[in-house]
Amino acid sequence: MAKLTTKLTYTGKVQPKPEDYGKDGLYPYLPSDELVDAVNLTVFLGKRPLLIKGDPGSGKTRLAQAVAYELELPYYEWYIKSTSRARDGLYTYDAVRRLHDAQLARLDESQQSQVDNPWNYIKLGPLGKAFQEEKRAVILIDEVDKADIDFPNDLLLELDEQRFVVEETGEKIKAKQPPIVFITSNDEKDLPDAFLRRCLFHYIEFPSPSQLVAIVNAHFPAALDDLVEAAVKRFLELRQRMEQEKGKAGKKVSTSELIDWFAVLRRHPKDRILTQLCGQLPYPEVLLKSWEDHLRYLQTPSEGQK
Amino acid sequence: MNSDELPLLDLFNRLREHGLPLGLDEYMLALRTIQAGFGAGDRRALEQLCRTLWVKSDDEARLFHRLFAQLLAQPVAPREPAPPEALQPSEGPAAEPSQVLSSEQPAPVYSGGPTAPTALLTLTLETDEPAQVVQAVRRGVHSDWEMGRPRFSLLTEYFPVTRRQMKQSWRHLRRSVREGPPEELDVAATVEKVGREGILLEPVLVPRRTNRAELVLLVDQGGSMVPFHALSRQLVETARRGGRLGRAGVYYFHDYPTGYLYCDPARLEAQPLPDALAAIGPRAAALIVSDAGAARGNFDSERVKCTQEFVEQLRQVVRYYAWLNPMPHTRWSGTTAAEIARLLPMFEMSRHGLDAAVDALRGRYVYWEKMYPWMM
Repeated sequence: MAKLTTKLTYTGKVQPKPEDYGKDGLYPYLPSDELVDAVNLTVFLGKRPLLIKGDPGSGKTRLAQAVAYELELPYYEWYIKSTSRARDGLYTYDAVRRLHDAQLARLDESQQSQVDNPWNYIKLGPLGKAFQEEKRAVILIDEVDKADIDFPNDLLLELDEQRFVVEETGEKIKAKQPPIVFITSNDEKDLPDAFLRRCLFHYIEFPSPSQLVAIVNAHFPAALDDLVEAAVKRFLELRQRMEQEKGKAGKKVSTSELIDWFAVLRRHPKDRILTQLCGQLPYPEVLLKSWEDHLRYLQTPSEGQK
Repeated sequence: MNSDELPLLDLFNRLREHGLPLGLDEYMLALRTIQAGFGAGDRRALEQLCRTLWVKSDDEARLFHRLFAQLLAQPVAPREPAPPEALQPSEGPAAEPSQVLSSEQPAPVYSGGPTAPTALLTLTLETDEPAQVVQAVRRGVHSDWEMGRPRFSLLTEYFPVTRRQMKQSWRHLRRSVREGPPEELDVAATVEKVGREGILLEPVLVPRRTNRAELVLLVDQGGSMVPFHALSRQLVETARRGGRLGRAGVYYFHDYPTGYLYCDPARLEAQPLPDALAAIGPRAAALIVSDAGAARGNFDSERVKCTQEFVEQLRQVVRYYAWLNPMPHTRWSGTTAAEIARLLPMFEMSRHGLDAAVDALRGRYVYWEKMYPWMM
């Protein structure tokens, strides 16, 4: 790779220590080379958010935190709900509490100063807080497709110009440093063109077998090699069958389910699990999430077994 | 590698022609990042960079991959001027620019004699001037738009009404009612209460507004409607999932309902017409989706009569109804459709037509009796 003019470069190599796993949602994250390049492009450009799509459980959400961890930047997450409005991410204004306090201030003069200052009732949202950071902040806007179809358009100005106005005080808030924005989408709703135009895009592909082994090893450093390989092999067989039968649509087993599954497997004696992996799928409830899948993938052990 | 020597502009324009939402900013962005050292190294790195910058979905990624392979078939030699080099045939005549272009179009005849972009593009072979290349490409785009429609594209959204537009239209079909637990602040009522009681004890909350508009889609399935199945399926899907409607029911029939309506597109699960109509709520609006015989282009008095009977029955149970015809209105005249269009508001399936149909379903008066010029 040629020299980069940016100071910040994400490598995907720096992982949290095993004893920190699970703290504040920290887990090892092993991105593909393409993803690393896409992240570095986002970091370099600054103004453009990176839109990440991929199968459920492919690690869309985890990426942002992994980047923040490696680059040692502040991290803000904003989980979108169907009722989210664009302004919630910037700030919320508690009108009721101010009215309430104004009532009390009539009885207690000392409270008047608090009521006079609207900032006591304004709470900055994830974007608002990130704009105030002295360092560049990493922002995750998770599942943007859950919101109303006009929601992304309402964010255009804030993401483009990196400033917003607090209507209640008329104050302008401008980002001190351009934040690094990651947006995930599950493709449940189409995103508007005007919004898409401003995004960078990356589709997270399903990892290769060797990457899968590396991912499992990273999550469970103490795991035994042959167990990891046998589990990944069995998992891939299932995944391949699902790909053949379900095609592109349909829910297939994902990386995150493999990690959950392995967490269950390794709690049991290795020899027993190794024999079980050759027969009927052990602990199918972690992998198969519908009755139809249970019937189809549980009855006949796959042909590719040892 | 110098970015000027890459046929990036060609690639960019081709992507735009295929309807990707890209602007000048995006092109400059690519140049800027390449100058900053991204995407350098090999062909794969460059492809990846352009894909990250310009492509926004999986479908587009496939299209991009194909175009990229076409335009950058060979590693670019350092001293040759870029666009002619990139368009050099790599395997037989297939990569010759005029051919590449025409492979994107349904037929050369379609592109229409004098303004044919092919003639302009052969220019790029003879000249080294980048300015002329730009001009040639731009003219190419322009003449496409003169033909009224963007060139054939592989993306999924090639319908007269895109998925997003459908959802937007459904949004207009509203009958909002406050329902559910009170959670929204009613400012006016709260202020009034404070005024009355002298102190704020508790804010007044009201339930959120939800949409209670009900829609019944009656979809003609099979026969001459086969080419439009994908379109009507998308219409049903957007109404059910993205339209935020209170309830959206769907019934299917073939040509015109005779005695039964069907609950599934394969028309296996039948329901007697009176039962089906009785199940439609009193405030529902009905939208019929059918070509009304315009696809075959003949006149069938039996069909007019039966459709009229059905519309009469429908009128008994719903107040508002409309008809969406996937055939362009110019093809209705002289067919059964023209006759049926006099019975109820019929609109063609276009952005404008869908909006008009939704307006009609909301109970607004839409001038439909002589909606299209030929009906005068």
